[in-house]
Amino acid sequence: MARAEADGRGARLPHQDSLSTVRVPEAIQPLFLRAQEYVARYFADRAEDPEHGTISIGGERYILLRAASMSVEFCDLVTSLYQDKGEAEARSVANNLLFDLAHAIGKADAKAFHQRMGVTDPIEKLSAGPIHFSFAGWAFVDIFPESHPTPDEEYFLIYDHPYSFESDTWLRHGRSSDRPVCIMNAGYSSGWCEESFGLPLVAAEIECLAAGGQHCRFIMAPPSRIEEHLARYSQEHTHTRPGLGASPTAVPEFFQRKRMEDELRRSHELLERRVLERTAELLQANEALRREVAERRRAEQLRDEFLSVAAHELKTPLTSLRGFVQVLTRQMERKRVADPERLRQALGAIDQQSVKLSRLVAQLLDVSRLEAGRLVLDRKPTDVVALLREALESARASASKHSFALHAPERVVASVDPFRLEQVVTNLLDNAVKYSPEGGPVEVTVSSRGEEVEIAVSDRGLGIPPEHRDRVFDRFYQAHPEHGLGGMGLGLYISREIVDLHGGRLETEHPEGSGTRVVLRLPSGNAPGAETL
Amino acid sequence: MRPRNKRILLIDDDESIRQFIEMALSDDGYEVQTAADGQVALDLLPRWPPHLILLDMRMPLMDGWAFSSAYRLTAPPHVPIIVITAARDAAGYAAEIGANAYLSKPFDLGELVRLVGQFAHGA
Repeated sequence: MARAEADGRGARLPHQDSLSTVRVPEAIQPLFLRAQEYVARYFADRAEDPEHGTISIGGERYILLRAASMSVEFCDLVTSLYQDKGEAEARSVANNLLFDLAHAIGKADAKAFHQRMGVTDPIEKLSAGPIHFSFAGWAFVDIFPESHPTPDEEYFLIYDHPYSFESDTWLRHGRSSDRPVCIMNAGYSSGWCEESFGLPLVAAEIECLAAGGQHCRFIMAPPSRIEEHLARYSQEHTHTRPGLGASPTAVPEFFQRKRMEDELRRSHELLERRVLERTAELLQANEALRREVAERRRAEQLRDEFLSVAAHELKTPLTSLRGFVQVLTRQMERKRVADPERLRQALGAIDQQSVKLSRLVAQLLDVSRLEAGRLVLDRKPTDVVALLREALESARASASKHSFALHAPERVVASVDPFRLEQVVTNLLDNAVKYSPEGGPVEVTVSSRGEEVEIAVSDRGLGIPPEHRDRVFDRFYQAHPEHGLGGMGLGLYISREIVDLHGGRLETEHPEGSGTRVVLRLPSGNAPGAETL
Repeated sequence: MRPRNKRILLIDDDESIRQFIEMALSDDGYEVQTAADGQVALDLLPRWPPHLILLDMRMPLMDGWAFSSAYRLTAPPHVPIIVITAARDAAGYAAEIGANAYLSKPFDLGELVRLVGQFAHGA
């Protein structure tokens, strides 16, 4: 290596004609010689002014740092700070800091230097790095011929730092390390080259003088390729140096902290989102469960109420049956014979109550059939008007306080189940009578429009209070429980189900004033013989 | 003992039940008046003070609870009340309104006659 004459401050200038500040493969020497020339020129323009506390090189402010403070002493400091975490953790923290710092300096120096010198070609940009490195006192760079510095994924650089400031300070302190110490060198070089090529690069020290190696040797490559190069190097050299590759070389990562923070934040966010999702799911499940429990409780309550009402309703006619039988029995015991008028009255009541009982039992059976979906219609062409006339006749016979009127065409035929339709109509008439306890008119109108038959039953009775109107068709629901009129609360429920099975609609209307109008609309069904006269 | 001149007021919304109870008690010599709900009975009381009241609980317009509250507000003396109900908790209803006895529907006629005899003569 050629040496220039020492200047007044002890700096040695490189020989002008030979490449002395870096060692590179022969092919690229001319490029580096040119770089050496202008880097030397740059560093020659140097002014130190301690009276103003400034050092300038090439017009740029510089600072001098004592090498050990950035290496062995720095590691010792961090190790003492991280006593509780252990040596390995401390070195990792220190190395990350040093690498990040040096990588950032390398990138910034490269950028500033290229701008200042007007260098644009990537390899030319790169060539100034090692020389700048030497001039700045970090280390000498010896690039091996197998290097392959292309601006792509194939980028590969293998080199030594014969005079690394880092291993130097460790050795001067009489210290050795169990791992490579030239962290800033690796960071700075890869920073410079990364900036030069616009390609993410990282360098790792595979052998270190301070760690028992024979050189300070580095491999630089894109982060995605570096491990592979390190592994190959270890494999190729393990026979000459058995210790090599026993513990894999730590590959630094620029601002690993940033990535880890990002990852941590992402995992926090993911966790938070999962917690929110699970919480929402739990709340949803809870709510569904609560609703289900409430629904079941309501259904159970309805069933209990129904059983109690059903029992009450069945017991009333039973009471009369038993009462009349016992009255007759007593009389016969006393007089040997029953008074014929009394007998007639009692038997009439017994008959009436038996009918009432069978109707109640039939209702209960209908409900059970409806719930099981086993109520089947037996449709046939039926004169609806004739059916209504008969139903009104029966109603008249049992309701003395009410008057009944039918407004209908002579004949309206529809395809219906006559037994079930009669059941519905009888229920509507019963309700009209029951809910006008003071008596009054009950009117039935029949009209036929196109494919639809409309039957309306109106009374002038209690009416349905507004708060009950949307529930009168519910099973077991009674609109007038306070009046004890209700029965089992099944009549309208069964009626609507039957009308639904016919494909019709059953609705209540609430005329101004009083009473209720129940409207039944049925499709006439286009059955043979279905016609309006 | 003859229940002459003992007046029994029967309040029940079921016509058939009113009919046979009236028959049975009349056969035994009681004077019986019937009412289909509490209000009809209250209207009757001043003109026809009974010695005993037989009271159904679930009735339209004015039920057994409303009747007994209104009855307690009328001028004394107050006569015994026997609750006759098809409800499951006949004893509970009777206690609620302070009745002297209760019968669960359907009941035995002999039991009714026995209770009526017991309370009509105590009045």
